[in-house]
Amino acid sequence: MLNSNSTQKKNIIFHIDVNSAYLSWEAIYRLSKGETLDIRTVPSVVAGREEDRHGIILAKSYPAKKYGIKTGETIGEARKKCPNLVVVGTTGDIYAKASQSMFDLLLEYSDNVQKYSIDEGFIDFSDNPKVLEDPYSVGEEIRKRIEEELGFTVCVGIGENKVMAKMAGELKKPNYTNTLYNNELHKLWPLPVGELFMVGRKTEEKLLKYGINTIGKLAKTDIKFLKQLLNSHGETIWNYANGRCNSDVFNSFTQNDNVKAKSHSRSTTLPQDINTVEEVEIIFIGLIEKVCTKLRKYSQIGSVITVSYKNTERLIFSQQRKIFSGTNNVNDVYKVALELFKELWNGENIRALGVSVSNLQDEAISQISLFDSNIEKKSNLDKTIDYIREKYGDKKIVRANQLNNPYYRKAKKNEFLHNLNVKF
Amino acid sequence: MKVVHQKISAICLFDEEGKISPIRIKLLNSDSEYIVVNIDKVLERKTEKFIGNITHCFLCQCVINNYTKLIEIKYEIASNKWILYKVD
Repeated sequence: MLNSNSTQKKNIIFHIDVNSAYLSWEAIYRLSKGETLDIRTVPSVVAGREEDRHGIILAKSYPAKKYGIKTGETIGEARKKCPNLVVVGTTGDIYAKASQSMFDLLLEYSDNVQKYSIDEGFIDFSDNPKVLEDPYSVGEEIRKRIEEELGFTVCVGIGENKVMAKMAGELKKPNYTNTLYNNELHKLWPLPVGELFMVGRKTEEKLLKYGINTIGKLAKTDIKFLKQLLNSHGETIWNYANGRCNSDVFNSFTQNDNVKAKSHSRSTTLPQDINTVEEVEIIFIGLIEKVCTKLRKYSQIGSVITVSYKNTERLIFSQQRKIFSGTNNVNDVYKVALELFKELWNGENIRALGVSVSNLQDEAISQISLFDSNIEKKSNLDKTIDYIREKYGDKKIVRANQLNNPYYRKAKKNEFLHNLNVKF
Repeated sequence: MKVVHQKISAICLFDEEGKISPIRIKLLNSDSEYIVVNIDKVLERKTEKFIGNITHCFLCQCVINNYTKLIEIKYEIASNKWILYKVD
């Protein structure tokens, strides 16, 4: 159990969350390009292309939320709820740029900023006496500055630890600064239990069965009972409900401004279902190349390889394996991934495929396998390929079997048409 | 002022301090003809950073068809494009 009052020093953590991030950014981008409709003011969603079966909703506007549209639904489901729904596609790299602009602004206030996701971050102000005097006005200043300078709205949550700060941000949306100190837990307790951080759909179902429907009831429940029901996760959420969390703000911007990831993964929903190993091989190589390129970019190697696929009923199956020595070589990962896939797959139609490499460590401290004598050769080849791709483009050097990859063919076709100046 | 959002050609001055001043622009008028307009005065200047897209904005005074008008033009750094944003 964690004790929130064990230290004399008062901690102040800020949580900054962009309201409907992808949709706000898309709206501002479109307005800056001369569009007259602000998609934030009408029921609208940002989603992938329906033709490629990527029609999953990534973000929704607040008017769309009133129709009960949820992130992760398909466009078809959402249109049933709201026939006048405006659907817009995604635009290149504007999101990363918008996110970076926000974190640049936050870094003006403190060096101790954690990038929790593309649109969420934590700032630790515990060592800043000026902020400790009046955290709310600093929160308001950050919120207003982001709105005026960057054009989008955020919710600022202020608490004594990360979970309280995050929950504070959820109290009133959008575009508010909220506080949730440990003596203000009464603000949190009437909320439904599903709103609590780390309480997902399955956990919520289990808790509701026993009449635990609010965060307050969860906080008052006997911890022994929760441990029995949910194992260690029970203790975690019980601590959260009581305003306790001992996770520190992890500074994401110390190493060359790059956030070191814990895993790298790639997945894709296929334009059509596939059901032969040959087709899977082609897609896998494409995905693994991207994952390994990323690993090499950050000089990392991974030793746990996970493959997953989604069938036509959208059920996800996955399997993972730990290999003896970490790798960032495409062939090594591919060999294991294919073995895992063959063990996992029962011959059904495949809708989506994914590969992930985790348990990452620095390339410099890798353990060399005694049985692999070609490590240097492989590494040199990879470096050369990366160099060619960086200099001349991703598609200049590809494996021969990728010529049959539908994504490669499509990219090539677009490039060809672009060179001809034909509108596509 | 009315939003027009038209891409334009521009001649501008970059002074030794890095200050940008538009001098002359070429735009399409309502008869779809190109006209050249001299910028008489830059009344206001500000820098926008919406979604990280750095854009210099200028509120200018100029003469179009013998009428003195106010226009707002923008210079988007990432794309190096000049845009006639608003016209009086």
